[in-house]
Amino acid sequence: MRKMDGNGLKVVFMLCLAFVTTGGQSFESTVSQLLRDETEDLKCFVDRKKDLTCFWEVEEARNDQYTFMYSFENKKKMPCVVSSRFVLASNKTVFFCKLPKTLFFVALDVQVFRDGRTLYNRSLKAENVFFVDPPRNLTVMSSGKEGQLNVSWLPPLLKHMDDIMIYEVRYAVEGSHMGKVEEKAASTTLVLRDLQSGTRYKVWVRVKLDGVSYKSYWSSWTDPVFADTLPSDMDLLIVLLVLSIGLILFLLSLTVILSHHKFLLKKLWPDIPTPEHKFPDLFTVYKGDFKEWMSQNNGSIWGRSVHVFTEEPPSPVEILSEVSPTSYDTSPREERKPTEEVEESEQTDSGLMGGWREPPHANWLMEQMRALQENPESLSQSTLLQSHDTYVALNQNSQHVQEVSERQTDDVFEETLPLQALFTTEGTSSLSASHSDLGSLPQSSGSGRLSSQSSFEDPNHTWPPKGPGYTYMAVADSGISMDYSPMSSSNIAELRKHRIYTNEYKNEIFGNKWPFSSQHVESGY
Amino acid sequence: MKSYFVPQSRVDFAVWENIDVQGQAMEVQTGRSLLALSTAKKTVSNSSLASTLDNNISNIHILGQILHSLDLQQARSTVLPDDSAPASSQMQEVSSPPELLQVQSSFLRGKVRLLLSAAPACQRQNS
Repeated sequence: MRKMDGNGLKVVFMLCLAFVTTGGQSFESTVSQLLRDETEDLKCFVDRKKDLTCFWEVEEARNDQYTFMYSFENKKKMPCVVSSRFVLASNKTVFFCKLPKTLFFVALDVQVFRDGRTLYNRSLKAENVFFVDPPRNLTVMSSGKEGQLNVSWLPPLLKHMDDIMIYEVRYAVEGSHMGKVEEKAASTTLVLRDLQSGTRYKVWVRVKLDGVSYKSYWSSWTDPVFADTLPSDMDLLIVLLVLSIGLILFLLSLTVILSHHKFLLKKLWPDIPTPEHKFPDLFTVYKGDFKEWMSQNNGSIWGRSVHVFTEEPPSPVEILSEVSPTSYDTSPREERKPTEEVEESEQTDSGLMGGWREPPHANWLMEQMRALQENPESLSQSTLLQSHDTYVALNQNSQHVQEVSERQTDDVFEETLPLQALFTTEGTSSLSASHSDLGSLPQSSGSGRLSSQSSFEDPNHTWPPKGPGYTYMAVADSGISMDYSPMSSSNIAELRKHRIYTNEYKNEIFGNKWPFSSQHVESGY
Repeated sequence: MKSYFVPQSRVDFAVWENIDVQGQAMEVQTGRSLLALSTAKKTVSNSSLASTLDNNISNIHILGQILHSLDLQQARSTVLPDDSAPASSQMQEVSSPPELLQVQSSFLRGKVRLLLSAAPACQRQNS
């Protein structure tokens, strides 16, 4: 008995195992799906083992007696044992009967009786109510091309019918409810095209028989499989382009910076100027002791560089000027005077200071003349020329002695004779051109005479070396380091342009006080 | 009343799978012959139906050629195509042309297809 029990248990276990493994799609899932899809009241289907099962839905669980009768080819009717089951997925109770033997390609008649009365009556053919399992081993992979996916699967296990199956592939972007469907006959692979790049897709597949020899319902969908499409080449290209451009710009800027690093360093991190180079050894040898350093150096450096600025007793400079034979009247003389004077002073530099280089502007002339006129006593305290030297110019024909205490740089005569000619006193008559002393100039009448009269009268006539008839203008260097711009021909021309202006000025303000303003000065020899 | 002797179209997979290829071929051939004889009887008055039956005759002959090319045609049929009573379980009798065509359709879809799909020459190459 024990052996029998052991063997019996084994058999039962094996049967249960067999029942479970031969399921494929379970009875309940099939029933629940057909409850939705099949419109007939009496629903029948043939499973993968080619057994036909018919079932019907019961709303209320009552103790009704159902009788199931069937017949093939109008032959003898046979009964079928009716069972019931509760389908959890649909929350319904069904009665069903599985035929012991199923014949295909022949007419089948089924009848259901409840309590002796016909409930359902249906005539069908078994080869038209197949219910296939879904496809197996669904695989989705990237095809290596942009926007494509390779889908492949295996057909359900159904003998003799592998080549008559139609498949339906459904795919959608993950998270989207909009899906597309593609049908495929016989073959178990499919390439999805025109997909979005770099997107995750969901793919399902289902199958049904082609309906030529056998017909079936659509199988249930497989479990979804996810796959990603390749990222767009364009996106990759754009990223690569941006990176390469950035790299090139970086290298360019690096090259520029390196080639001009000294310049940039100077601009961004300028050297703090130090005066060390001007003071040799001050900081290195004398440790910053300036007195010590000065004593050691004996002020040699300072002496050289500042001798110009020290107060030196002004040395009188006599400038011989000569009225230029060029065509201009008296008025521009005043403008030209400082020019010539400067030029002369530069030419005879032995005793002259090098400070003079350029007569001032016409405005400055006016101001100086105005100042002198207003305050003639302050000529001696004039800020411009501190020279207190006076000079006496003797005129051969005149007893007047002009005293000039001040000289103006604007009172210049063009000088053509060398300086030593100044000292030739033979019959030398010099006219004091006290142009710097406007206020003290006597009236023009006979006050001064220019030896260059002839030049006035005859502009084209060059100044003849007639003799020692020169007009003097003494210029004293007061040590003022005024930096005048060098007189150039253009400036001379400008001064000439101001001829009218100056002339007016003189006539208005100085009138006759200016001996040379509008008079011919006659020189006497 | 005229009757047509037509093949049995029923297929019991449990039985069919136990029959060897030659046995299957014989069944198919016998049935084809019966159909050929039945459709040859020009007893219909309806012209459209007559033309359909004429097409069937040509199709049945084509089927014979296919079977011959597959070396499935038997040299001789064991069933005598005459008016004698159906002695084989492979025959059935129908009384009208529509029934004849319906049986023919079932026969072709069933047994003929099963036989041809099992033939090596007709096997799809599995990729």
